[in-house]
Amino acid sequence: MKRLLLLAALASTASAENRCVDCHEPQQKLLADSAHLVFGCADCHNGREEAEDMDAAHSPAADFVGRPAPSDLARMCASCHEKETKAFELSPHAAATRRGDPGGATCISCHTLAATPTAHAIADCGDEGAPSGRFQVAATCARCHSDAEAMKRSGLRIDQFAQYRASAHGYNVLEEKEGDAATCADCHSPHEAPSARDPRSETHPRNQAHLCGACHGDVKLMTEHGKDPGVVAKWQASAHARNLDLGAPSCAGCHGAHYSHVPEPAAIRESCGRCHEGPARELAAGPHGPAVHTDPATLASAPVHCAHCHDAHGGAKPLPPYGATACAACHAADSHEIAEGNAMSDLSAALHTDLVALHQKLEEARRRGHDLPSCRETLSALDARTHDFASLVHGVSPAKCAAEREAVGKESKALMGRLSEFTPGERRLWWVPVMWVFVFLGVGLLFLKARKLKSPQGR
Amino acid sequence: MGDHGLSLLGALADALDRRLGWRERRARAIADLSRPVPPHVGWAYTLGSTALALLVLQIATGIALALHYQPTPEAAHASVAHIQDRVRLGWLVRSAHAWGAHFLVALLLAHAARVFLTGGHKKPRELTWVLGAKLLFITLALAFTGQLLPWSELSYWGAVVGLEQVRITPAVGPAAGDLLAGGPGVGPATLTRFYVLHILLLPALAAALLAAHLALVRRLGIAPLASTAEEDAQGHDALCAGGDPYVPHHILKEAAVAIVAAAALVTAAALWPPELGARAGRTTPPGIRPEWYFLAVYQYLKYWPSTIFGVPGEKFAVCLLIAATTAFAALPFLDRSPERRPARRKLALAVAGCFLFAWTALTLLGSLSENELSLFGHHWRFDTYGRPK
Repeated sequence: MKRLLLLAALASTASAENRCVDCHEPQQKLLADSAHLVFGCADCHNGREEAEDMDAAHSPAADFVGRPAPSDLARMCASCHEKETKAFELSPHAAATRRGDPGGATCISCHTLAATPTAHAIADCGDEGAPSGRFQVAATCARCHSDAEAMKRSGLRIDQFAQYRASAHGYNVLEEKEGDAATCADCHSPHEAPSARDPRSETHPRNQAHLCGACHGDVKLMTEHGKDPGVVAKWQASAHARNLDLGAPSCAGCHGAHYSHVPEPAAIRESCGRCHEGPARELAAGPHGPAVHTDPATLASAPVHCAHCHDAHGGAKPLPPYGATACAACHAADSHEIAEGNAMSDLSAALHTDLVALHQKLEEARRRGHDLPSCRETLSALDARTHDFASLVHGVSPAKCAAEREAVGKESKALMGRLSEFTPGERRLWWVPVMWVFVFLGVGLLFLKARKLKSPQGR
Repeated sequence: MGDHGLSLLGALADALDRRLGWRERRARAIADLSRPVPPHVGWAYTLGSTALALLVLQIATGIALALHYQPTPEAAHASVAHIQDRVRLGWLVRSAHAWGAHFLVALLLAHAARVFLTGGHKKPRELTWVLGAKLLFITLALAFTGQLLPWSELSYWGAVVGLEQVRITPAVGPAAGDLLAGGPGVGPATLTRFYVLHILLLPALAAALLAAHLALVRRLGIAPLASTAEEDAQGHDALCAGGDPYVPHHILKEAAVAIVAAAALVTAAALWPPELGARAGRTTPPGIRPEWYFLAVYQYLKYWPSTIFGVPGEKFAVCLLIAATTAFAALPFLDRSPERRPARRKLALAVAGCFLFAWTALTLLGSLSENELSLFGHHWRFDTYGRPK
């Protein structure tokens, strides 16, 4: 009703004062159906609406702007939509438009109702049917982002919409019209739309946990959908989160960005193995390589993979003894596999204990002024071998592990011997109290001598 | 050793006596040292000789360290680490040398305080005081130059801060700083110069001053607790009547205190050996501050405004400091009242008390500045002026 009243008011104004409609009726009609129906032509184009003569109406003296340049559109919209246009000016879209890229998006690229973008058919963002609406925005973005010609200029891929459509998010939004699932604008702030390489971007690996956590950490929402709301918190506490700068994966690293999915069991080894090459190699070569694990609940079978022993999101190593914490999930408690797992766990713990002691010793030596570059080098090599020992464990070969432990242990012992020369242990200070006994005796004798001298005989 | 051996030694002594006349010299020295000291002389009068004993210990440990030390930036730190960890008892010798500096400065300050309190600086012992004050300054210079030698982070930055304070001295400061450092910054030349100063020039100067100081002490004797007028009128020997002879009575006390002080020094060195720390040149460690005996000066310089009448405030501060130092050395010529008894020198003692209070307060503030303190469950952090944040 309000819209109709406003339209009526505009129509009456137009008939009374706005003479633009005399020539620009189609535009006027589009405007009347748009969210901007309350505006007059001069609000955007300047000029003189009431002039009967076209030259007077289009007078440069009245700052008339006919078809604004794409790069000027944002500035014009900014007179009302200041916050949004400020964000937009920072976007790669605006940058493309500024450098004259004809494919560069402007405000009307996303906010127009018409099939051909025009500023007169601006949609109301609140409308479900608006191009920027929840269920349409993916298609709106895809107009350019699936267009090979347009994306060629920016060097961007064109399969993002296809991937999104195939993802759980996309299926729920596009097919099920499920309002809770993520769409483009939920992850890419719609006006600034920074690249995922931009550290300010929500989709940057540093910020992904926060972004995904907005839904996947929401207890109520995840409970409704039968999902674990703790996955984001687990990842945040994980070694992956601590080592993002070293290339450790954030959410999209394992789940994909647009084709967000739970990795297939068969693909998990490959996914983890992209970084954890050693463990993946040993796992494939060992008895677990060809082994298949059957889920007792679903009876679904899959190759033994990383998440059978490591928490998928926490990524933590199983706690020692491995036999009890990791192997027992599949093997019987009294089986030799459990015993072997525990034995490897002990070897690993012994290696780490040696390594910690060596680092402490080297640090003590450094504090005492010994740089010892050759010792540092040896310790780095031992660090690497201890790290590689973790790979060996994945091959589940106790004999190989024991041999490696013995070899590394010998080198650790030799290094400890060298370091001990530069870090004397607790000094034997028994002589300090003994010295004081002699001091007291000596001083006592001096006193006696002094007394003797003071006595009449002494004088 | 049998009779034959003894007779051989006796013959040698006789031969030397005929050539050097040492027996007569010894008899004269014993007679001189056996003169009585004033009756009031007690334990407080053993500080000077204790400092002398520790100075001998410093020389001994210093020579032992110099046998292994290499005065180049590349090798200095490693050579001190070598002394500390590879040379037999090297850690104890190094620790005793480092602790010896603290003990020596503390003993000399206490000695100076005792002399001032009992009026020992007054006529006719003005020169003894002046030489003693110079010995104190040389000891401080020895401590400062020795601090750089390990070429550790803290010692390096300690020298940087110390030389900055030298450089702000008006007129001669920049030239003196360059002369000491051998360039605009602390570098290889600085280490060489500090090493030469530490093991050669300053010890030689100290030895000469010490010889003169001790000769004057023996010549003029220990000041009696009487006014200079009484001493002039009655003579020093008369005022010492009733006192114990220096040898063997007083020297026994000195020996006892020296033995206890040396044992305390060795104990401190054994229980709390100083850490060498990382080699200089990688990082600037936090909490750089000078040793306790320079803390008051370090803190005092902070309170001056950046400029006074367009002139850097530090220059005024340093001028005042030089004036105060000069006044300390020239104290006998400023404190000219004839009285030595503390009870009759209230003004002088009040002025000295104010100085001591200010010095202690500045030292305390200096140790707290940019530091943290936990006491009785409370935790404080202090700014550069020593104020709680």
